[in-house]
Amino acid sequence: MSRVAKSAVISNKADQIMTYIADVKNHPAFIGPLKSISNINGDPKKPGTSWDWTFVMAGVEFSGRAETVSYEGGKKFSYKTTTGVQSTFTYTAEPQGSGVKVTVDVTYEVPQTLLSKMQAGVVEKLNEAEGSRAVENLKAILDQ
Amino acid sequence: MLGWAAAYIGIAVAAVVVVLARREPTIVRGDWVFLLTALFALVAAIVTALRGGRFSLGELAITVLVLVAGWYVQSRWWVVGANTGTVGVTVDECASRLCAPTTRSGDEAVVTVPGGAIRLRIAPAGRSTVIVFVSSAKHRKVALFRRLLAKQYRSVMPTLRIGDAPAGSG
Repeated sequence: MSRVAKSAVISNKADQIMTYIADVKNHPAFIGPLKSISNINGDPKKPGTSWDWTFVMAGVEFSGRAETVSYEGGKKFSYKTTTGVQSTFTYTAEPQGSGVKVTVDVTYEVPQTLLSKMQAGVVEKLNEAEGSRAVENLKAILDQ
Repeated sequence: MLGWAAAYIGIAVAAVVVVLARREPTIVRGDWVFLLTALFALVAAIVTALRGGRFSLGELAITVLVLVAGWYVQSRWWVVGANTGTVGVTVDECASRLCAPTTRSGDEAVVTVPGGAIRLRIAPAGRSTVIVFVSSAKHRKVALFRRLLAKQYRSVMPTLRIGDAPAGSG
């Protein structure tokens, strides 16, 4: 199991930040390679709610499904991918100075099949390069 | 240089055919057209020079004309296969996802970002809609807005798909 965590301090209220993040339709706005989120079968704040995701990198499109693991208002939103690479994304918010420290924490398993290995590239890309950019993008969007 | 010009026209015609044959709305970004055209002209000039070729005045004039045309279109995006109404709704949706208020007046849209605004003109252009970026601010949200808007449509380049495509994604 591999893990990467990235953080940024955002000048906004923790509940507003987590409400924004828990609306998974917002994710393509701050995650570069994430092209779309669709077919959400309920409220993403409720555990078990699932949706389709599509990543695009270098002209290659990867699709799969994900579902909510947990949501705590103003504190935490966690979801896991349920097809392809098994990974869990956890967003947390904690007060820091006059702002809120937002952390995205991603854990994923090293896959065995060729298709999953190709999809692992997507997750690794998100973890390393896009993870930092994603939290900086969140800061640009949500800073007040 | 004639060979290079023929190759450029061939690529452009192929791209137009691919885009027009699609049922999904496709985005043609003027900034990318300009960039690729400039790169193509640069490669053509370097290769021709390395081979000891000479450039006639006419060839240089045509190259400059193409680059000027490319410069003109760089602030324009075409959404082929989508009308102005749906594109306007998409612009509003993208701005909303970035917590950026939008105001509309006729065919103009103003997306407010910290320290300024993105001013757009959305107009019909045959089977497509043209989005003109009239002016822009320098905040990071501007780049995020442009990227999110582009994501709403297929790109000109073909895409290789891996995994189960989401239902209804075409």
